[in-house]
Amino acid sequence: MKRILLMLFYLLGLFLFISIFITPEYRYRIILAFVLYLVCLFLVLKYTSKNEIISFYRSIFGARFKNLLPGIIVFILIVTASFVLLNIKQLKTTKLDLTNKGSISVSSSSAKYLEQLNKDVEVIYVRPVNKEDNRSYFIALMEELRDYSNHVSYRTLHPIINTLEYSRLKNKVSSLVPGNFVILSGENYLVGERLGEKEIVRSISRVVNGDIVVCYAKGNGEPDLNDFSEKGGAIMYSMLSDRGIILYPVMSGDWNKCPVLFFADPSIDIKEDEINKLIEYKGMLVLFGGVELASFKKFLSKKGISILGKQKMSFKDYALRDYEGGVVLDTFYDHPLLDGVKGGVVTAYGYSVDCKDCRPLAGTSDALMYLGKDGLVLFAGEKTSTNFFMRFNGNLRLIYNALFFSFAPEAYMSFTEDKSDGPGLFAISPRYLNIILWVCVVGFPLLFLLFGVYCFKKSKSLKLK
Amino acid sequence: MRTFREFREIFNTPAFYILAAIFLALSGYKFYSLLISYTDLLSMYPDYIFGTEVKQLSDIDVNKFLFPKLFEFYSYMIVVAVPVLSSSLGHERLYELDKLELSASNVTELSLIIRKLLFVCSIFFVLFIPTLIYPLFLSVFTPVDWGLLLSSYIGVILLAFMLASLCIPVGLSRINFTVSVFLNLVLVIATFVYFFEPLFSSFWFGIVRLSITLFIVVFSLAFLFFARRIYVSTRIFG
Repeated sequence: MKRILLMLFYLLGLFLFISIFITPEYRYRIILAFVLYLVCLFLVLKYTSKNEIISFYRSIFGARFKNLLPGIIVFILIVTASFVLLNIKQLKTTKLDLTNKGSISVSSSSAKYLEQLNKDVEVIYVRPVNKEDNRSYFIALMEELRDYSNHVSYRTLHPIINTLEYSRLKNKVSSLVPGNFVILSGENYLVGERLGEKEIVRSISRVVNGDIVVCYAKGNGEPDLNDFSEKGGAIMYSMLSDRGIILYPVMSGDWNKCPVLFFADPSIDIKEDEINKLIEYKGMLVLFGGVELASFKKFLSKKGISILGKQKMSFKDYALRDYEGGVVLDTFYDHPLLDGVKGGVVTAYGYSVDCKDCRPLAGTSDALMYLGKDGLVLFAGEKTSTNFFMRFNGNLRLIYNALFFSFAPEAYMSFTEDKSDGPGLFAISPRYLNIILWVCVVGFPLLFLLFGVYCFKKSKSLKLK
Repeated sequence: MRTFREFREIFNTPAFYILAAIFLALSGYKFYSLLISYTDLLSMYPDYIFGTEVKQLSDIDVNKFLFPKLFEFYSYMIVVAVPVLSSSLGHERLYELDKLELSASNVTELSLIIRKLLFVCSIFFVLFIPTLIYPLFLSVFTPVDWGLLLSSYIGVILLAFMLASLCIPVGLSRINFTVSVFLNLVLVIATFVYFFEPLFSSFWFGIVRLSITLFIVVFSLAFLFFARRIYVSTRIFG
């Protein structure tokens, strides 16, 4: 009983000690509690195993302390030297990549960008609470990036352990959720969803250069950027601004002043003179939806793009099997505009498009819906930008990439030169999975146990002899 | 065979085999559950959605998905096991035998401590050999990145080496076993969570960094010298 109580007491100490580190908000209070605990522990041990404690303290601070002193000095010197070692740049960057494809190595374009970086940026990974935690991957990746720039620092943040810090960050970046990463540089900030070298480097380049302002065409039935109802566009506005893209509503009179003009799901025809304005427009036009309108059809036909039939609902998409209604994009071509588009893109309905000199980007399994052309990016799905459809993660990525790359097409071109072969994929049937379960979890440990019984018996019989 | 005394002590105990079997069962279950998670993840990306481009999504590479998490799990096992193993190195029976050995032969205290340290590492080495069955299983279905595995195994052995050297000074100071385990656990968990865990992330992903490897070696050597001084003073002053 005495031992059990003592053990519980030790565990309490362990708990308090760990709490000092994991709950920074209450650190002082816990340190105070820990000091009290140590006093109690001392008293408990003094009266339970007095001699042992005294001999232990004597062993450290008593006569033998003199004997220990040179050891302590050497120890301190070596530990200091090892910390210095960790910070020598040449040593820091010397590494051996043992992987087949250099899976975590930084591409040359990213390395080049990071070497030229001259502003301090901090990347914070908000660890997910219920989902899979990619902390190790994040750290390994950031260590790789830091090899190329001293201006990049990083840390991880747990929403529960670091509650105060997380809520402060959340107040600043409203669309931040656990699992995302945030990049801070001075007053600028930016949120990213998918951990990856390209994603982080692009986000760094975005945050360093400040926010992008994209003109948001209004007056033609587009979702209102302040409307939080299902038909509104407030979620898109908020999510894009947290990612460094500010939508600035403009009327047709100002179109020609915009480097990038974004039409999001217009529902009212534009006028004849506005069609001409669009034809003469010199910047980058991003058109999402509105292709069923006669005026836009006319404009597109002048650009050499014809609108074909309406797309039917697609239910065969496994990932979205619970979703009823909507066209799901299921074919993605290899293009940076589609980087990080994950979890499917869903629209209320869509039209297939045809264009001879366009670059196909994505579509359903039997029709093209998303394409690029000089000065134009067209997505023929409807209602993609509304609050209702923005719940699909792919939709945000689709819009974000279209706007981001339209603003600086040269930026994405520079990031496409490195291409890996990609991982080998495979599927295991439930039968094989069962075999693996039985062999790895039951059979193999049992075999080891039998081997132990054999070894033990043998050594016992040898001893008896 | 005096050199392998610790080895014989542990390999002739049934407790070792029971614990090893539990470790293998847990490790096997972790591998199995990761495999299930991976197949679940793949079902999110059927070929007809992403076509051949699914291969471009590097975060669904089985090697990158499965092994880092498996080795992270091993690192937690090491964190729990090392304090217990290291604390048992200073127990009465071994201490008396060591004393006899030191007085009877030319063995130095430092070599004795290094032997004890290597003994802790070799236990993990022995435990990790059977875990090679998992990549072998996997190689039936897909090419395995053996380089990544090599670096991960180097990582776990270095981790065991570093944590064992961190625990040895307390382990050899001949204090109560429970107190010693407790102190070592506190030391290891605190240092691992706040300092050492991030150091090993690169190893799990196939990258062996010179600075980190050097740091581990130097850090461990520092603790070895410290342990030697403690051991010498324990022997002199009782």
